Amino acid sequence: MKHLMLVVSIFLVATALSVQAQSPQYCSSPYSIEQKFPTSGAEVSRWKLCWQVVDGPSLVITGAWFRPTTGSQWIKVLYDGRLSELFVPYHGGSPRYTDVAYGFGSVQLTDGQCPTSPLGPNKDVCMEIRDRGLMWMHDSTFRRGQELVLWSVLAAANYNYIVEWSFRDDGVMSSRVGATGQPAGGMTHVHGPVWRLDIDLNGACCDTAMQMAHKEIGLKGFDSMTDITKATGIKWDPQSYDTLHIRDEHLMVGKLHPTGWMFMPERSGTPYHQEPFTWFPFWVTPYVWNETKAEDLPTYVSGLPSVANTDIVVWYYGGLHHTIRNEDNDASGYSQMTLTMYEGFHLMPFNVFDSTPFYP
Amino acid sequence: MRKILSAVILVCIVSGARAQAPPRAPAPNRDNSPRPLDPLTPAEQQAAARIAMENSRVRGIAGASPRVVAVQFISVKRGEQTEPAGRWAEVFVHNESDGGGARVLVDLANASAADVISIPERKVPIGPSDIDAAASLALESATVRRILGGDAVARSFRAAHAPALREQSDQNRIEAVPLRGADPDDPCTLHRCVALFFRTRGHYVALNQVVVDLTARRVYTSEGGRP
Repeated sequence: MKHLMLVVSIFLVATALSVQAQSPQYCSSPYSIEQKFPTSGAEVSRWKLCWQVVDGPSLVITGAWFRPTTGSQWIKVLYDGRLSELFVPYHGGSPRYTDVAYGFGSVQLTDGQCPTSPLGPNKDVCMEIRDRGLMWMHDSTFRRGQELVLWSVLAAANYNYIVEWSFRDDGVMSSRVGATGQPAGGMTHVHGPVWRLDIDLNGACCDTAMQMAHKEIGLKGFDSMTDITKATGIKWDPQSYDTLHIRDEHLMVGKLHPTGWMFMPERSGTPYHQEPFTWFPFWVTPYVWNETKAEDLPTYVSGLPSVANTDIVVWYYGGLHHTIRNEDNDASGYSQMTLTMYEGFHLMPFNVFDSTPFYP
Repeated sequence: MRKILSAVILVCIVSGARAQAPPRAPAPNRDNSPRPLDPLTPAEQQAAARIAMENSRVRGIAGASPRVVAVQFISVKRGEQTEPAGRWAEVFVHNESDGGGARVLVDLANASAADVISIPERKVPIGPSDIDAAASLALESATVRRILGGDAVARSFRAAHAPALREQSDQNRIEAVPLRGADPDDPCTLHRCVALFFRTRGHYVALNQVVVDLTARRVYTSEGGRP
């Protein structure tokens, strides 16, 4: 009997430790989310994340991990992802608003706005599983993809910003900001979100960003991949397919190819304003706890600190060009409602899967 | 003997499971205390503010009339601790009399200020009490009251600190957005400024017409209608 009790006790301890081993509990419900894909049937991939709503940036992802297959190890992707600023300069030179700096709260959502019932004590986050269209197809064979989408709404006086983070079945992580609300008069302006992404691939250590660029010479196309070794701002050329690849020194999955995530902008233009932090769409800086303010980016890179094989932070500045049109106003020109416009990016796996995910 | 052997094998399996565990994963919080990435509780926010204000370096920076402007959650990597651990807060303290302020990293687990950084006036965030101050200053202005439709109407406006709930949509609200100056001659290039948005029955009036310089305690108005 004594032996039996000992074995049962050890079994219970083993179970508890095993659960702990598989599932680091950095956050509690409802701030902890795990989502398997596909949502029904046998699992292929899985995301695990922590979130919070913080006054100012609104929805913040405070940790994201991805497991490409059921048999593989969790890969840490993100330590912290948030909006650092939303800069709104008007074409006349003034006003120039900073919509994150005040610490605006987020909108308490209704069931009508969020059909799946809002999350959190303030009911300010919506979580949805969305059909994202065709993941792949060829003639009669196809697969539709899914994504977990979390969103909140930053209430910046006359504007509402939909802050959305998506986690796809194929390992793509995306974020976008949608501007809507009542426009402040008839002057065209730009909404410039700046994301701060503390990317910790496979943990904090040993990450490096590389710039991929494409060029055409004669009939041939050439791609180059350049390591970014010193903190800097980086221009974006739409004709070069400029993307940032982030790799970890030690992260190699099955085929032992260097493994990482590629940062792909989804932008319609590049607004360079007088303020120096808007002069580059990409910035790469080393992690420093208090380097969190977009407007100080030029200072963060000024001493050219190393960003090679270390703990890095990637910044991305986008810009929505809002030309006021009849659809913003009533017949007399008085502000009504701006139809939602989005701006954002994707972080796409690179050699994370050994073969086409979810195929056949 | 066989049973003991089974138990030993099980222990070995357990050890194997532990070896694969992510580093420094915190144990489950059986006492319902917050985990490293949970939002700050109201009690933690109060403690963070108190710890910051009691710090001698903060008091040196924030002067005779210090004011906590914001307390926010932060997850910090320090030294070899690169996974979320502990409980941390970031506190901004404003020096009301001399300008500028302090940005304080508070280690809640050790009830101490882990780092204190001096920041210039313009970098001190705008907080709810700033909106109250800006609204009061604006409503003291006869020009603002005239823009709003007279003294009686102006008196019905209240500073708003949170998004309007459905039942509040008909209230007269004053909302504020931080503003930065565009050139050296603009006081808002160095000062803390907000534009005030006046909202009545769900619509905005006097958009972009009232700016309050909180540092100089001045109100700027333009009566030319919407830009």
